[in-house]
Amino acid sequence: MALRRFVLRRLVEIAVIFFVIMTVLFILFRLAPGDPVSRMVDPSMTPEDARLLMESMGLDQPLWTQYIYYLKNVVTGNMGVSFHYGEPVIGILMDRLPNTILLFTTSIILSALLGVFLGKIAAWRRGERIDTLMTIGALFCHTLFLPWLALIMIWFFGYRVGWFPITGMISPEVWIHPDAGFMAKALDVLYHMVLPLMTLVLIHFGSYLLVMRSSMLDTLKDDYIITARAKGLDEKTIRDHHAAPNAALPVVTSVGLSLAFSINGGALTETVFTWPGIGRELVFSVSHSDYPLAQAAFLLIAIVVLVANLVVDVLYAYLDPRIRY
Amino acid sequence: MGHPSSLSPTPKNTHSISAGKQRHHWVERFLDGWAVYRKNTIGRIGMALLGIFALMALASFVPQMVDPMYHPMTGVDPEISHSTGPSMRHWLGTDFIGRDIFSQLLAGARIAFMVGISSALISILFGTTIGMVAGYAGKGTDIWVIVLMIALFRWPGVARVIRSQTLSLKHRPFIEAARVAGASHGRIIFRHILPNVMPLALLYMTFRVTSAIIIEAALAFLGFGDPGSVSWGMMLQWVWKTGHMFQAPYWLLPPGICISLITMAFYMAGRAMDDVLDPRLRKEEIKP
Amino acid sequence: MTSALLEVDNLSIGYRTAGGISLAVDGVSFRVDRGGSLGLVGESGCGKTTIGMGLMGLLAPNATIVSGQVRFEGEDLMTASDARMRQIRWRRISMIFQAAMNALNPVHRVQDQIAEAIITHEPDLSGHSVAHRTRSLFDLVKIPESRLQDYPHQFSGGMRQRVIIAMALACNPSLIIADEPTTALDVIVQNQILSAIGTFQEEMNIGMIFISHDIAVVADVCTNIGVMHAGSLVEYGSRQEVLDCPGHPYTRMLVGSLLTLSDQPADLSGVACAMGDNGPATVEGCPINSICPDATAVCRRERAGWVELSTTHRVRCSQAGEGR
Repeated sequence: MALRRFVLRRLVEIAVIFFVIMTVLFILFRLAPGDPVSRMVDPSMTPEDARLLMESMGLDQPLWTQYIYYLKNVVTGNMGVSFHYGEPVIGILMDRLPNTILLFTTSIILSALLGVFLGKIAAWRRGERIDTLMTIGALFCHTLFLPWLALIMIWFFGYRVGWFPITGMISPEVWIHPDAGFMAKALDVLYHMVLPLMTLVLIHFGSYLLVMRSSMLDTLKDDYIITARAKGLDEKTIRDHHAAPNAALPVVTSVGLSLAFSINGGALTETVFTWPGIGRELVFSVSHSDYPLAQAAFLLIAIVVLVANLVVDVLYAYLDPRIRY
Repeated sequence: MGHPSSLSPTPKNTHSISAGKQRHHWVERFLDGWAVYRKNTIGRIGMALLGIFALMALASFVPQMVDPMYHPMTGVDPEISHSTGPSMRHWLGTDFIGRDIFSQLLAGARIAFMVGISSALISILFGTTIGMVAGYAGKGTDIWVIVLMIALFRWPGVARVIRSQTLSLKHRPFIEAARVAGASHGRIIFRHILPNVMPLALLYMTFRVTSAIIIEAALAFLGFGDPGSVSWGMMLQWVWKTGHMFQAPYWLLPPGICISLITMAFYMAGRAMDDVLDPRLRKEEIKP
Repeated sequence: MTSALLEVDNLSIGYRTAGGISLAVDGVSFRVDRGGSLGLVGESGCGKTTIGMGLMGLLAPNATIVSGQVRFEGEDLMTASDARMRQIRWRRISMIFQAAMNALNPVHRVQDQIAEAIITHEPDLSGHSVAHRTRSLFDLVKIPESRLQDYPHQFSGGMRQRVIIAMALACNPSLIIADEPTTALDVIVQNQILSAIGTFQEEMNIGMIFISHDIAVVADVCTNIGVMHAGSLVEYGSRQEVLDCPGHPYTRMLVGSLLTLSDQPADLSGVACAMGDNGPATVEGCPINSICPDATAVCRRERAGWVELSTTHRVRCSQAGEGR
């Protein structure tokens, strides 16, 4: 099937891009001032352990051999040991990965759906007060400074009205409880997710709304809308069934384009709400000079963005029958 | 030498003009664009906001002259050692060690402008130049310029846009006419291509400035800022790290509002640039 | 005489502009019999399409019906409610759009788009019979059933036009408005489409209004022809009468522009108005007096009334019937 071939081709592309990113990262780490060995080996290790680790990572070898070792280590998942946690970084990050993906995909899907839904209405009622209000509101949310919004959320919803928890992903007492079933645990995570999710959705939905609105206005001028009217369809069907699916296509494209940006926001949100994800681990490792962890987190985020882009492309092909790879 | 400007797409100055008058033509182009820009309400609001922030940046030198305790970084009110709310003495209150929040806010405007202007200059200078050269020179040089761009990493966006615009300009009759007339490459790039990519470069500059300010603020917020100066992001970090967001809204609100507003101001200013770029978007009175 | 399916009486449609309402259609009257066909010919911007859209109640938001009456199967369409108009659309009056336009929605399968029209108007029909009718419609326009699952972009221009025709026939309408259905097609495909339309129209006893700028095409499929100029009907009669003895100078120019196999090149001079001048006339006198070879002082002074050349043939020209 053509789609399968497209996905395979894109996977090869992703591998190539990832290889380039890996190489750039290697060069950056070696080029940075200071001793590269000290960056990879925990200063608190015994000399014997340090020597073993250095050998396993090839740090005593010439640069070229180090590069080969580095590639081999990345591919086999041996990315060193975190200074702070004292555990292999790959294990730590694999532990955090699902949390990030949960928050990240939910927020993107929610903000895109909200943007499409509101943008559709704004365009449909163009020039009316509801349109002006939505456009200004979207612009306003779009330009809000994310960490600030997160703090305001914590201050208002977490402190003033006290509706939602402000840190972490779980309440230990729920999870320790012997009778805790899956539903209880899922609800607990959902409860903790409300504030970070609201922050991300508020920041992101505005730009989708604006894209959807202008795309919908273009679509409404298309001839098939006249056809739909001539067919005697009611206005709601025309809007939702004929105009909106066509108008939503550019939104999908813009979701793909803004993925990298979204992950920045994700890291900030995870940090402020202490959501145990990769973004928070990256910020933490950089501020604590935990180089092995930082390097692995960076690579993992690159993979997440690349794969998410692929998913968006496939989704686009699914939504637009004119695109068949 | 017969100058080919009669083929140039500018509506005005269709008569042949000498190189000396070219600058005049440039200025006129700018004034034309400005006249369109000024009519745009969104652009005017954006510009007004930016003006206010510029005044704040200028005013940031004043407080420490009034009294050393108003110094945003080192000035500590001798009578206050914790965060207090707004008062006559401290208009926006003090932070956790008794520094004046209002003077910190002014200093933050200065940092934001410094970050914005330097990123604007870099993106304009390097991005536009590289983009134009890459687009103009074509094939062979292209790859190396892009490698250079990736290596230097900061302005590929601007360069890419300018490059594609230049590629489309390169084959317009007025460029070919200039080449036939014997104009040097440098002359073609700077006299003929630059004026045509300038509005686009300005538009992308506003995007670049916005993202530079946000990135600086985000990094400062995470604690990777320059510890020697006060920026809005850093103020937010102090609020956050000292846990004051629960009891000190007078401290939490101003820096966030400033970052959001300056972003919005640049966004609006750039939005209005669309009007200058695309004549079809102008709401012009229909001339008889 | 057959019964009237559609009667349009003194219909005027205007667009709201900064300087008041400007008329795009000015006092047009005609009738279409059950199973009969009327061709509306005229140059771009003369108001043909506006009439079609006006009959469907699909005018642009800035357009308004100034005066006139439209009676369809005895029902006054001008006073019909929005809901009633929606029921009439497609079920009673359907349209054939130009395939070159984006008349089919690119993200839906053609089968679904046809089925949608049927389901909207006959909600009680079972899914099976809807599918059956869709298949037979495809049979009718000679497209293989295997292509029902395809999307519009997978069809050629001529095929897409057939799909549009199939869609127009979906609810067994009694009137079809065909708006330039063959304009962007090459001559051979155009011929096939025209003969297809002609066949269905006759076999299914459907009334048709055929809108075109091409009098040759109209002459091919229509029993009656109305010639429009600058928003008004200037000549109306049976095909034979209009083509053989055109009464209006503008019609004479159109007929003269028909390509013939004779040696003499057709005289095209003065057929079209200057660009931007083809809207409704606002000046005194006959709108075409400046390009009319027979114009007299009377023509410059006032607009002509209708002159009956026969019971079925009328012309709006003061010179008609005299000295010819």
